[in-house]
Amino acid sequence: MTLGKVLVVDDNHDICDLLALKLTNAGFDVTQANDGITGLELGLNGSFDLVVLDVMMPGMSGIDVLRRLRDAEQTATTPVLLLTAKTQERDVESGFGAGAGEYMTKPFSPRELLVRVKAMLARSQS
Amino acid sequence: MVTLSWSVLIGTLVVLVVCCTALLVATVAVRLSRARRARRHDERTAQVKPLVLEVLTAEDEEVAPACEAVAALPDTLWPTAETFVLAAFDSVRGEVRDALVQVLIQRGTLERALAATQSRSAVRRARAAEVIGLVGHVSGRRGLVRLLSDPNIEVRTVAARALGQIGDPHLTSILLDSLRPGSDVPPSVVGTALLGSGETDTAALEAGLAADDEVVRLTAIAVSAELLVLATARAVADRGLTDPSVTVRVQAARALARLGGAWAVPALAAATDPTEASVVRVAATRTLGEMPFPPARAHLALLRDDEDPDVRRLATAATPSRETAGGDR
Repeated sequence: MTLGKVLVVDDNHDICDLLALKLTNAGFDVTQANDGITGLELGLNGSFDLVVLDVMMPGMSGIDVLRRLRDAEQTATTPVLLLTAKTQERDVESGFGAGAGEYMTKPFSPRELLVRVKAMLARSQS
Repeated sequence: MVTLSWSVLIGTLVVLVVCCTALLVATVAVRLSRARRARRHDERTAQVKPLVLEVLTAEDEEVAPACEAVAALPDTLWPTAETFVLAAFDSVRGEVRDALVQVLIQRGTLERALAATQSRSAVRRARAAEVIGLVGHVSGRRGLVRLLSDPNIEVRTVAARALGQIGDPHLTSILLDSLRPGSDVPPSVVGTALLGSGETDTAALEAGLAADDEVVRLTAIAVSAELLVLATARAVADRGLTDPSVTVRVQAARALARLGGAWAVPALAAATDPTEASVVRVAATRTLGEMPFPPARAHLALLRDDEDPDVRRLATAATPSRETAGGDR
């Protein structure tokens, strides 16, 4: 019995592995993608409970992936946590504007990320 | 004649064949060597990565044993582990990062980087500054401060950035001083480093506002505004708005949108005087327009008929009706 299905999308393989391991250890069923296009395909077809999305990725940015997820009926309300090195107020604004439920900036605390993921899932299930 | 030409031709061909063969052998050797190095690197990464990830994902009592496993890695694997850990520092913070900093110190990473700050190679000195910044330990401060006077501009720039990662308020004056004429460290790097410090020395910022160099004064104002250092707000109004430089006066007028209270209205109103430079008047009008205080609205009402179209437009937009503005007065 897992705590939920989480999709992690980050073009940095090491960070993706780190996030996946942290969430797997906590009891989540984690799927990884290393670019926006693969992430979008998996996100649209995988019925995930939550998506952790890097913003700056080659090909398709996390914001674009998020917008496409929001446009699709089956993922319109899937909680999305944006994880990014972009710290400017306008970046945060554009992330929330695109439909993110949470916005975390790098460097991030893996422990805090786990807490936020759990809180987001609890909110979406209540 | 013909015999000589043939022997020259054959000789040339032989030399060409030998050269091509040598080139082919060298290329294959280099590729094989690269492939072997890459394979060895992959093998080492495969051994090291799970151990470092174990630390980065550990919680509470799991952290210490996971760190011990990384610290106990043999010397052959340590350079790979060190590279992996330092790369992770760009993305990870928190207790696991702090624990890994101790491992790096234990394995001599900081010590080696401090020694490399004396290297004759500018590339090595820059890399050393970068590593010291990533480790972020206060004991690296002295080496970085020394590198702010490095003859190489790249090294000075990396050192300024790295000092910001150490995050010590005592570095405020040192970083501002690195903007002195001839240093060429980009103000944006120093500004970002000061913002990255999170906490700044208020006295040093105030001294920066009175510095001889315009770039220092501009940076001090920008950092005060970004970090909302309210203790320097009055100095920004008093010194900044009367600064000999128009650029500084504009920056001070805009900074007061974040730092100023009702007390700043008279100084901003004075900055809209017709004898003042147009860009300063516009900046001060814009800031007054962003303030909710009645004296600001009252002054803006007076500016609705100003000769400067930009001042007029901003004042009109901020006080849509004369009646309202008059009532506020």
